[in-house]
Amino acid sequence: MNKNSEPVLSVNHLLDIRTLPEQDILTLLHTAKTFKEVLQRPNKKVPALRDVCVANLFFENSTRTRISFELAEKRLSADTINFSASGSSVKKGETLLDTVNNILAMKVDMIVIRHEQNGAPHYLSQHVQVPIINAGDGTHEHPTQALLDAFSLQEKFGYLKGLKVAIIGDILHSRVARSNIYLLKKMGAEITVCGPPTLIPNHIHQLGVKVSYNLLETLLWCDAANFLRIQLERQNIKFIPSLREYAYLYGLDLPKFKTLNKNIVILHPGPINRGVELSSEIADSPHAIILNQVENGVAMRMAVLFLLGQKCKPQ
Amino acid sequence: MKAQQLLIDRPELVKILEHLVYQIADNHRNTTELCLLGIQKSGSELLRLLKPLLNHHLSHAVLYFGDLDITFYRDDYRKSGALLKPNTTHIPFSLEQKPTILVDDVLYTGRTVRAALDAMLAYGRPSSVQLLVLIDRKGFRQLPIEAQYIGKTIETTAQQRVNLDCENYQVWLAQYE
Repeated sequence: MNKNSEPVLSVNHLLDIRTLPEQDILTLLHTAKTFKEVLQRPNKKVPALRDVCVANLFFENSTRTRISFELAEKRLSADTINFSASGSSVKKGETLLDTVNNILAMKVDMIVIRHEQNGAPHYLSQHVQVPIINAGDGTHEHPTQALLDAFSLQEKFGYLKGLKVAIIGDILHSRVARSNIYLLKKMGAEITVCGPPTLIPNHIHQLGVKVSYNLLETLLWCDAANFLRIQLERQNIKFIPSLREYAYLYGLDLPKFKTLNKNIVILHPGPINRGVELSSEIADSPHAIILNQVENGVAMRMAVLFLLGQKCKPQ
Repeated sequence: MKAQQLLIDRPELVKILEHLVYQIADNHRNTTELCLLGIQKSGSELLRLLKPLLNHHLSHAVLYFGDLDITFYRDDYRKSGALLKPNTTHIPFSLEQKPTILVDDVLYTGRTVRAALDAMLAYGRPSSVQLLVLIDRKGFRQLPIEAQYIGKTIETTAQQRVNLDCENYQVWLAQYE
């Protein structure tokens, strides 16, 4: 049965997009397509990971990503353990490495981790032997979100090379923006980031993106626009005068959309602040592929788990 | 790979394919619907060669053609050295209560067919399942699996591999170290 002997992923962990080779991205996009087909079947479960145990360690709140990973694991027949920092020994002062090593001692094969500290998954990958999947670390990266966004765009347009993508909103605090920029640049897309000057990091143009402070100009230029959430929990210092002003200048509603006189595809990583980044008419319109992104998220995470799971031998 | 020897040439392969289709037509004289699933990738390629013949000789029945990928159902995930890369499955019909024939190029250990049986069930419960193979490599079976339609039975060693070249209608026997 060993007909496919080519190595399929060069990395042992999915830590970030910045260092992920292009070939690996293409393999992940291809594999996610096969899992998307699995998710259309009457029976959506495959037995591929039936002897694999995955621990989902969420040190930071999450709904979509956690459920998406858990569903992906269950669809692959893996065993899962869920951990959230609240109500755990982390509150008693246990270190990250101790927590993880204790979980690994129970013979866990893979770790999915979300952490509020940038670089936490990288740190773990240097100290433990099992594959680590970054489900978002601080304001650094969110690789599976970028992969599923690229997959959704490719599904919609059929190509990524030369595609004009706008990333709009809070770029400063957004790990989604960073991962998306790295990934789309690698796939040959053109990117403009747009938002209030206080929420655009200095020197962001060094990543090879254009910067704009004008929403309508940006929307007229792009084929697809990824609206980011205003991260109210990271706004200890006031970066914007008010949500109302932000919605007026950088939110998209139906009247603004009509003035564009063109079709653009709307993405949003969720959760949406309705009436701030997007009005309900736009979020629920056929131009928005927000729910496709959620569906594709499960397929993409299945691809990540399936391909990385092969890297660990049974314990 | 050391050397390759030609096992079946074009005229012989054409004859074998015709013979296989005659057998199916004979067994399914009264069948009104028949599903044929090629096991990715070589089985799917073989099924594409058989398709025009099947359409011709089984014109009394409605034929459904599909491709079945077994990657997610294999029993050697994390166990073999090789890493697995999936192909596409395309079955735009239900198998429920329909007679089905699985098509593969080579029957060797039987593990691929075991995985295919498992994968197939995600699309419904066929009324019966038969197996068609072009080449039966005798003596290596690890599971109690046999084919109903066999193109040619050959004696091989474990160091050999059978390759189907659909473009040139040839079957080759390759020798490995």
